[in-house]
Amino acid sequence: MLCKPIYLFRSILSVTGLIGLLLSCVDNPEEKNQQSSARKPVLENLANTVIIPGYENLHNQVSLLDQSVKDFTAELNQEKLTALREEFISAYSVWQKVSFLEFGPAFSQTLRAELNTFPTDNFSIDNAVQTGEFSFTGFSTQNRRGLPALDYLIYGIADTDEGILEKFTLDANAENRKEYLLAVSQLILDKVDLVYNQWLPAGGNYQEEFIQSDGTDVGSSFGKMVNALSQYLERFTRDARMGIPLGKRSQGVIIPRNVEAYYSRKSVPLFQEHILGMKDFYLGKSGDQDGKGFYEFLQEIKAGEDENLAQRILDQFDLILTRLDQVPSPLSETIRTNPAPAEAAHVELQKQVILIKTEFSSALGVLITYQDNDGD
Amino acid sequence: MNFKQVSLIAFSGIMAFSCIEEDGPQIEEINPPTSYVFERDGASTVEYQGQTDRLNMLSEMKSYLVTGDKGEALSLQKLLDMYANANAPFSSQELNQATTKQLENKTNAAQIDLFKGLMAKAAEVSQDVAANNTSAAEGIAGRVERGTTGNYVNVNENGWEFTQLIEKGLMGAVFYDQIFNSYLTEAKIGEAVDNENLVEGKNYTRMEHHWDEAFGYWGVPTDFPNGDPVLNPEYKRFWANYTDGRDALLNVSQPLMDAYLLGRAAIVAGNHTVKNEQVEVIIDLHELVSAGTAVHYINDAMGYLSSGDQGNLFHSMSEAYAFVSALQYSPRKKISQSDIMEILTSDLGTDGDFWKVSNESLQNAKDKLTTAYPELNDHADAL
Repeated sequence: MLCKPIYLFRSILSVTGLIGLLLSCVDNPEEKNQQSSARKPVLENLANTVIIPGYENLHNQVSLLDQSVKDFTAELNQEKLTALREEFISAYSVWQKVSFLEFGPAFSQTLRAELNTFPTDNFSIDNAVQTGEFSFTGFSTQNRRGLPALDYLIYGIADTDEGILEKFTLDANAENRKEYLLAVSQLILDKVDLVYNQWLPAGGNYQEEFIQSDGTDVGSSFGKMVNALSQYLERFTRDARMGIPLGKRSQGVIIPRNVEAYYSRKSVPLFQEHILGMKDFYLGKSGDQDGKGFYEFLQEIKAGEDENLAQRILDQFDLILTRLDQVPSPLSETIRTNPAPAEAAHVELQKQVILIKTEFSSALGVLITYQDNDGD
Repeated sequence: MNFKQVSLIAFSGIMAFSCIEEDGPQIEEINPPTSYVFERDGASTVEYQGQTDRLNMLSEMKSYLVTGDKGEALSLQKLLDMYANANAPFSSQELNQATTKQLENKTNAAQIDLFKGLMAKAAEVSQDVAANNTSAAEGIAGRVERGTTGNYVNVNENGWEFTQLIEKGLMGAVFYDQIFNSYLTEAKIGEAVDNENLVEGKNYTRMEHHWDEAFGYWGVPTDFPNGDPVLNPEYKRFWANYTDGRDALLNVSQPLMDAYLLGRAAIVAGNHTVKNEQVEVIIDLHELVSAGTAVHYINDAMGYLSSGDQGNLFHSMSEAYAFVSALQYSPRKKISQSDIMEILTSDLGTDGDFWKVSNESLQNAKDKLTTAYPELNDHADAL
């Protein structure tokens, strides 16, 4: 007698299949299909209206930024410094609007960490400039490059503009410093170029994969977007930009130096751009183009016990923006001397974290799978 | 009708079916039980205390290593004593008295130096951390915080977490290696092994006992996976825990248990063909658990790299490293040795340096695993 294991497996499979069929009859397959066909227009609109134009815009801006870095290092004067700073703030603002899209190509390239790890390690930057040994490989050097490193190099290396210009001209390490600036700018451009091209149909065509993955499981586009958005909102919008400087992770001891864009003192306007970008993404909107986004999708499925989740999330974005309007710049100074308005904004950010992580994700049928920081 | 009954009925159906299909020689009927309970003359024929002892030794060693992560200075001598069961190193007197049982002499011979080296370094770094709170950095061994938990782990200069590399590493180099390359081999359960006479003073044959020892290293309860809970706290460790952890997506627990039960019953019935078929099923499923667990930790690592959590990144990568390493011991591994080496020495960071990792290189590791184990493909992101 030969009892081959294959029969055993086959039977188990067919039994499981039967159970599966029974279960799916309980589910409403029609409803599932409807949701799937309702998700695709959202994906198409987000890709075509918000995400790809967002990366295109970023690509243009970091190209301009890189050119202005080259112009500045070629002609070191106040005029070029001012021009460089303008391009820097423009690029940083545009980055805010796509910063939270850490899935697909951005995830593969760890774009957030490459472009915006802050606080920047100004000591290591100074040391590299002094020794002339630049190392930009590996994730441990992410806090020596990206936009925060530029922020330091063009705003923070001296107290006055004259002092900063001197660091690039008369200073003993001026040449190294110029090279460092050029190298950091080039790396930003290269990374953005990679991510942008991976989305384009003519490049990696992630756009196609993104639109086709219209389910809600872990690997689907909804699954990835909702997790990315929720995680970003929690760790980088609420914590890194506001909570950590306010001392929420250090037993109330404030760390004002840890705000985003500490040296240029643009934390608040950049924060506003960031929330506006998230709100537009939620609405499926970019400039004058307004298509189908999560907002419309939630309205269609009448999400929420009050059937009004779509509006509540939108209102919460607006409330955060109102609170940010009331935070005086620079944020680091506000946190030192008058933290109440920043605390008030933090409270509203926290409410949005909860809305997105719980009600939003469950209304969309997406499981939150990103790891909590506490590990096991 | 409960689950057990369903599976029993399904099972007898298969048996009947397969017996009609094949006109094999008529030998004794195989009657696998639903739990790992085998008796002769009303008394159990199952014994694997030596394996349970070694599992317990590794538990104690792990607990000791964790005190190092919590900031205590570890003694190398104590680690080596625990490894070799010398000088009564355990808190359990039973383990200290089980002087013929130890982990070291059951470790895959090619790996013993690696583990002793890790223990030496773990002790050295723990002493430095205890004295100076040395933080790990690229090329520098020390402690690193996992997330914002206030919990630290000690890592070597490559970011390898000692506790994971040693504990999970020995799961492969002792438990899997012993199952694959000792107990389920021709030398231990082949036709030449005595399956007629009882071992003197025992209620089992030599062959029966060897099969049970393999089962013992798996470490599951005898009613696996049908207990409630499936694993009580004392069983939530090592391969039992990881088999159960992968079961929801990979459906491994019941098929593995069935194979152990059917193979053991085949030995009782003297059916070598069925027994040998189960060996293949067992090895393949054990291997799949390790590959699936590796992908699970690679997914975690990618998330931690994206969110900039170095401590949890190193923890996950240390797990992934050990679970990929364990694949090496399978005598019929689906993944090539060169792919394993490429994962260990390149994809998980150049020369195994976790500080050199990127999400692209982690994706390469994941792709190699899902290509070699197509069962993982459908769950590549969910694992």
